[in-house]
Amino acid sequence: MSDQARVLKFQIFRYNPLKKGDKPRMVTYEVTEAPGMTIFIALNEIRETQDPSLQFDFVCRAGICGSCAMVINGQPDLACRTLTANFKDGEIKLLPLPGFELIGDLSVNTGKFMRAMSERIESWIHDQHADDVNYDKLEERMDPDVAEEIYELERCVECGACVSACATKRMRPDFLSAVGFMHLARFALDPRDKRTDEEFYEIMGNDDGVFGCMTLLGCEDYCPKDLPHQTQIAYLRRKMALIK
Amino acid sequence: MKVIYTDSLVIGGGLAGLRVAIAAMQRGYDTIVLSLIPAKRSHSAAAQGGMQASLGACVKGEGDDEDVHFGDTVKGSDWGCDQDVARMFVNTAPKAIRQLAAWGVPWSRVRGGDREVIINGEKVTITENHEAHGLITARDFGGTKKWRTCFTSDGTGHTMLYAMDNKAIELGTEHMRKGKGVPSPYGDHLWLDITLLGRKHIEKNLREVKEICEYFLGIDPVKEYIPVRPTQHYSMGGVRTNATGESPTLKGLFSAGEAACWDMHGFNRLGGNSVAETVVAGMLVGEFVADYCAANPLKVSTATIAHFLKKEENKITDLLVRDFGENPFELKAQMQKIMMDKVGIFRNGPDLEQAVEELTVLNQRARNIALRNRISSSNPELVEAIRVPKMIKLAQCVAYGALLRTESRGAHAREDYPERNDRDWLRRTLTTWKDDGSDLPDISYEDLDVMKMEMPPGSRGYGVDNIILHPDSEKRMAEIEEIKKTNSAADRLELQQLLNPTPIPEKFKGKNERIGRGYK
Repeated sequence: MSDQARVLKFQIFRYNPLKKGDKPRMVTYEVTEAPGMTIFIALNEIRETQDPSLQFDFVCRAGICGSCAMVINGQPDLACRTLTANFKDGEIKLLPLPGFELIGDLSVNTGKFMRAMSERIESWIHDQHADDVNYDKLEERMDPDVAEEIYELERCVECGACVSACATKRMRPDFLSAVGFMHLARFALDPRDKRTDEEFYEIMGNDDGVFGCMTLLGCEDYCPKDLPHQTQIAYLRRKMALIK
Repeated sequence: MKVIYTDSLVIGGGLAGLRVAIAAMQRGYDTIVLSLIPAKRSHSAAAQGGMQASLGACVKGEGDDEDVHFGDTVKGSDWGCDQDVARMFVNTAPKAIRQLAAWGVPWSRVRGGDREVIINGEKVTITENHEAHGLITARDFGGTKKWRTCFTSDGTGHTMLYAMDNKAIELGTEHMRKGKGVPSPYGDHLWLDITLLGRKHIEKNLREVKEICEYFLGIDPVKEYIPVRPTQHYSMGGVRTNATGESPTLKGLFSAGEAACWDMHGFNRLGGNSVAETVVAGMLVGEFVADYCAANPLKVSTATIAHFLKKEENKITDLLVRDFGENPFELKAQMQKIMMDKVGIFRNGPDLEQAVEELTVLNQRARNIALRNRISSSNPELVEAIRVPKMIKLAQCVAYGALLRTESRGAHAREDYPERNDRDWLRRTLTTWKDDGSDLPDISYEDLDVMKMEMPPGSRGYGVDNIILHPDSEKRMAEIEEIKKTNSAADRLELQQLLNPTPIPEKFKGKNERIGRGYK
């Protein structure tokens, strides 16, 4: 530990839409840095000792639930696994994720967006015989490599960083976005999902789908899980272009 | 007052809650899932280890079946589990895994041929059968005779939760001691060495662990030791239910998963059995919930609803108008410190007594919480003010129960009572609160009946045996031997039925098939 702990300066966006007369503003808080401090730890300290009204979302604080994405010094990332030590000048500016409905302060309604996305792409295995399976019997075999490939695409935690980093989404409010494409790529790869390419085309074969993507690839740059967005978007686009 | 009607209301959108909801929906009942967060953000996602089920497809799982899983579960629980429940559970777990496979979980699969693994700190080569190639594989998770923990690379809970929530969406609802520690600013820690596993294994199967090390600690676990600390990780107890998941004291209230004391874990839960419980309990209890819906028309007085609504409204109003009082964040921090220091892994009378006293004081103080931010919506301090008094009461249940239990069993290790005392303590601790204003919970006990056990208390086969025997243990053991002798022609499944005829729902009664063994 260094001799003297730093004092971090947090500039945080504050606005509670449910409070009459409240106006959006930036508020500065000072926090004494502790070893291994993350933005999650610092925000909790601010809430517990300085301002109990501060709103932000966390569940797992281990980078797996996807609740805590926010804009940290201009870049979307998961707050729970961002160490304050990464910021050399000790100044950290926090804004809510754009592209989502604001709940208050740093809290946004990613849940509503993701639920609508799931319904739109029907993010489940489509197999009309799925419910007739006899679960007493040996399961359907799957190549171990295929299982691993599906898992690689299923690592998405729906944090919304890709949506907030997407310029196309800014221009097209109904743009499906990388999170939707990643799920579609996952189901298209899965031999258990019996949907045909034509059926997938109905979901994403337009400008609000995979053809609308301007390939600026903010999704690829800011995905906290390092998912292969670029490759999968290119793959889906080619697959869809071959249909008609 | 606006009343929302539904056939079944599920509180909590983790794996257990979602699975119950799916069962009720599949039987045609209106279901609402109430969750504080979007279901896919539930903490089930963080369960990385895996789910136990005796599929026996991988070579280290050969010879596994429901009986071996049952034995491991009962021993793990230190004979504290409900053996009817453990039986229902082990018989249904293979079906649960296979159902989840059909719903989209990309379970890791057997790869025929040689592979290198680490067993007891040594590198060995094992050869998987080619006949099993492509079936669901399993790994070791400690405390089991066979490798039985099914997994998806490093993200089991995540993939299970996503498949489960997607299925629910498809069905169209879901609304939403103090030892040799190394000092650090967050408390003493130990070093965990996983470098022996090698880069390939760590990067693939322990990637989430690796990410945590890199992002949170700035270390590379392939090369460096990981600092670790013990922490409260799982609650073996919960809302007491009978084997169908229903509360014995409140009709129509069911509980499943970590929230419940269904009681398949007893005094210590096996790794991989917690995630398995969520899904398997969800399946079984879900059927009983649907049965309940079928048998009981909704009949509720609006006056009762109004009474409880008013009561809760008053509590919130009191919090919002009080000028001076306690800070809920401070109360919580004090409660956490008491539990960590005095009700931890190794326990003793004097520490527990102090903990109970100090927690009682916190409970009293928690009746006088005041807010600094006095608004009624989107207010994290108000949320804390509502929750912390309940957390303190739960901490009191744990600490007081631990103080009174003068033995060591499972995860309850008393330095002053190191022996497992079956004679006096083969019983469950039940805690109840008479009313909101009580200082301490009432404690009562529920005896476990050795004479009904399929597997009477014995040695766990690991750790130190230090047991005061129950007088019925030998009697029951002899009785079982007698049953076995008189039914020498019975196969293991028939024998099991004789020893412990457990009521499993018709849907899940079938025998489970295994590779190389069929339905035997």
